Amino acid sequence: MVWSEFKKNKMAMCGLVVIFFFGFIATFAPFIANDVPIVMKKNNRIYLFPNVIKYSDLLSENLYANFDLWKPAPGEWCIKPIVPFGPLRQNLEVVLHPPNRIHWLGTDDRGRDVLSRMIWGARLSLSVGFVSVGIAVLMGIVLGSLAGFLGSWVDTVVLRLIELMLVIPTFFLIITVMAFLPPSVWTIMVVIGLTSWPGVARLVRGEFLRQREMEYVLSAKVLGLSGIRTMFRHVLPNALGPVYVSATFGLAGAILMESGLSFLGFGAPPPTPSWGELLKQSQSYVDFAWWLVLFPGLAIFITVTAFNLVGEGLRDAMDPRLRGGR
Amino acid sequence: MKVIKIKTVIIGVLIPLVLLFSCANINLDLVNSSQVELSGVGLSEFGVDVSPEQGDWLIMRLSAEMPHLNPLTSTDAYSSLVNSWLFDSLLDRNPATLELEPRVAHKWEVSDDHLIYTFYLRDDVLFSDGHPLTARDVKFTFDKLMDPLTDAPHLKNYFIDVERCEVVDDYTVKYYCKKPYYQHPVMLGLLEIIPEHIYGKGDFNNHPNNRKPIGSGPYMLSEWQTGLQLVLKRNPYYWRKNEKMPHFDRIVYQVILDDNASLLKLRRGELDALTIRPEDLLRRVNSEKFRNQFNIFIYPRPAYSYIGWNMRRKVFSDSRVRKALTMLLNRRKIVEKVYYGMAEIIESPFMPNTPEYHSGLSIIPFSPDGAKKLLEEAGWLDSDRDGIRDKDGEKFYFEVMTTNANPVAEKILTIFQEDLARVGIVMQIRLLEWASLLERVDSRNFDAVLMGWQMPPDPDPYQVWHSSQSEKGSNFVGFVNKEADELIENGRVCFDREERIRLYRRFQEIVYEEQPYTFLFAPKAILVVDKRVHGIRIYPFGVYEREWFVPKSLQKYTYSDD
Repeated sequence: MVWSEFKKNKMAMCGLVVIFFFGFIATFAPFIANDVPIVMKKNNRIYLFPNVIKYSDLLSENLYANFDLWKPAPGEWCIKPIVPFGPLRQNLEVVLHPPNRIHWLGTDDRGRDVLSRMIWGARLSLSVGFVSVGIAVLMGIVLGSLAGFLGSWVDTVVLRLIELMLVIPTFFLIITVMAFLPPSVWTIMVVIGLTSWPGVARLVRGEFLRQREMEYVLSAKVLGLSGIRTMFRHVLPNALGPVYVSATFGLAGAILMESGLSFLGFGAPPPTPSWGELLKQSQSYVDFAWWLVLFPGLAIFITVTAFNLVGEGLRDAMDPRLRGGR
Repeated sequence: MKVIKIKTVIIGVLIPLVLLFSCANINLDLVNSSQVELSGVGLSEFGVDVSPEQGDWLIMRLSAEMPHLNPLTSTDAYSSLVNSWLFDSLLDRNPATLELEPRVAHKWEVSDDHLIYTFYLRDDVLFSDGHPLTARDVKFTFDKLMDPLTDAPHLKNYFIDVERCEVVDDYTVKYYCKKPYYQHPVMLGLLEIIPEHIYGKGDFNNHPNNRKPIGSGPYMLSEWQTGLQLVLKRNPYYWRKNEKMPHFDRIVYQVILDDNASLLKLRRGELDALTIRPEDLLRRVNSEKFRNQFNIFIYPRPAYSYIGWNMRRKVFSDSRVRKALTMLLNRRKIVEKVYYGMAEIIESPFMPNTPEYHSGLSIIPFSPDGAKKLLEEAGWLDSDRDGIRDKDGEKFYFEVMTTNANPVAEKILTIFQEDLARVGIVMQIRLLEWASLLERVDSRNFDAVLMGWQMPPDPDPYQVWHSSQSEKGSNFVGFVNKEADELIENGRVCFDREERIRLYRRFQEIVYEEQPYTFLFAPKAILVVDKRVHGIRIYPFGVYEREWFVPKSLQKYTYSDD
């Protein structure tokens, strides 16, 4: 029912398509942009997908660090991905080249292929988005449902905690925390996740408060179901609707947050490719290297917009008051 | 200037890194790749045949703001820059010959055993509040410096062999030393004098006058707008007033953190002098119009960068491994592509093109094959065939740290990282904020670190290379070598420069063999100065702004408070 409503919203569908497109690119990044071949023949043996499987005899030759220099000898061959550059592969001979036939989106200040870094950056941005929102939603649901269902002092404690988190500007809190922790992708995910749960918790709590008074809860009670069971099996599924919507918006927020952190140098440690990091680099060359600003900027803009459109679509589709209104 | 060195021993690490963009000679590659016309690039002097005139302002940039201005307790190079206008020292150093010359002291004597120094002060030197400068102020400065409560470990360490300071009469002061040390005249002579009647009262480390410094230098601080600018105006009591010194009515330091923003300001004529990056020279200021407005000077900056290997770590305990690591860093390529040819590769901690630098040390070439051989000799093989070298079950893995403020350092390291990976060495890059980087280095809690040192005109390797400094001190890589220790100690009591150079040559050979550092680059500075500023000369250790002036006909700012 929600789906059929959602389908009617053209903008939201566009957003969904864009998200699937970026998701596809992110998932299959090793097959799209890499200097490690997809299939290759060497040592009289065919290696399938050396780009995702580390073969021990290729490892022992340390070929994975040297694939850009490797040329198939007679009798050997390989099929490389469509963008034959690794995201970390530097080439000082082609520093800051504008988009051209070899490097479609140009190169950065140490000759790395911008397209390849964008593709692998999509991987980072999306996974940061999903993992951190996952953490936030999980925490939010648990705390929110406890507060909403149990009420009394649990509610007070959780509410105070939510208020405490809401008065601290999240971005600065994250920057402060990141300054103390060893920089890694996981730290970013966890830190963003742990700071963005209050919104979800508040939604779930409100929904629980509403559902708690409904007759089906009463009938569950009458039937002698335990509190936990009522809470998680019956109330929770009914309370989840708004959470999906908020999670979608949260994804956009998390991606933006990660880009912001990387831009300020608090993101994943170099040389990890990420959109924000690409933008950070472009700072020094903003007056002539337009390709370093435009492409990562566009990617962030499009993804964030897509998530927001989908979020809006979901909200409209799930809100019975709006149903039929358009 | 010796004093700068001392401070910069700590901060010097920062400055070269933050500003580290420099040059050797402009090579052909530069010309080809970007069609820079080199006419007018890299002047060595400008307007030196015109006689100096007074007037006009000089507006320069500070790339970071100092917390306070006190010649004894300030540790950053920015404050030494400003302090040098505000304070006087007993002696001066001639920028061309590097010899000591009279300043506040018109005459000085050294006893034959190099233990007693007598300075005879001028009687016409006044502080900027009108108080006369006497021998008591000199003694006060020294006593305050050595006061255990004073927060100045970076400076103290150069005066440990000075026993006491004695006021003979109002204008004569005597220093007694416990041991001879060839740098004593420099250290004592260039110590900036602070007035006793101002700094004598109150908590010295947090003295209110640290924000309102009072000295006897050519200028006094007129205004300090935090985060914006520092304005220096003439000291009305300056003793060389009659010699038409100083030249400028005002010296203004604008605090501009961003490189691009400062370049914009320069172009709009809001700055008179600025050090720019090589890519600015190539891509941004490469126009006729710019060169009509500004002169460009290119000169060696007395600083070098290095990667220091913590020799306490097992991976770096073997000199063959350290040499192999040096061979894996493609320094030539980095000079060419990252510095655009504007840096010189070095192999020792002395300033290139000075007699102290051992020119016989050949540059260790980039050679992955040579490095592989050395690594294998040292027992680092890929015995478990996973692409990463190992020895006794330990993988060749390490973390290198550097400041997050310098994009060039990160660039060098990612290039290095790739070449290391090609031979099976895993290096992780860790960018740290300056204070936490120093903290890690001071506690010896690091594998490798990319930083820089400033190079003083008379180098003394004691602080960075003597084994006594390895536990606590600047020898954080833990370089311990008996012969090197002896050479350094002998150098300190050797007053003959030629002899010292001989000792230091042998010392450099040891450092070259041992490779406690992988020496990187001695950068050159690209200085852009407005064409109206005359009297600019390039000296072995940089430029000397005190000589600069603007001829009357070209003066731009005529407002003056005199």
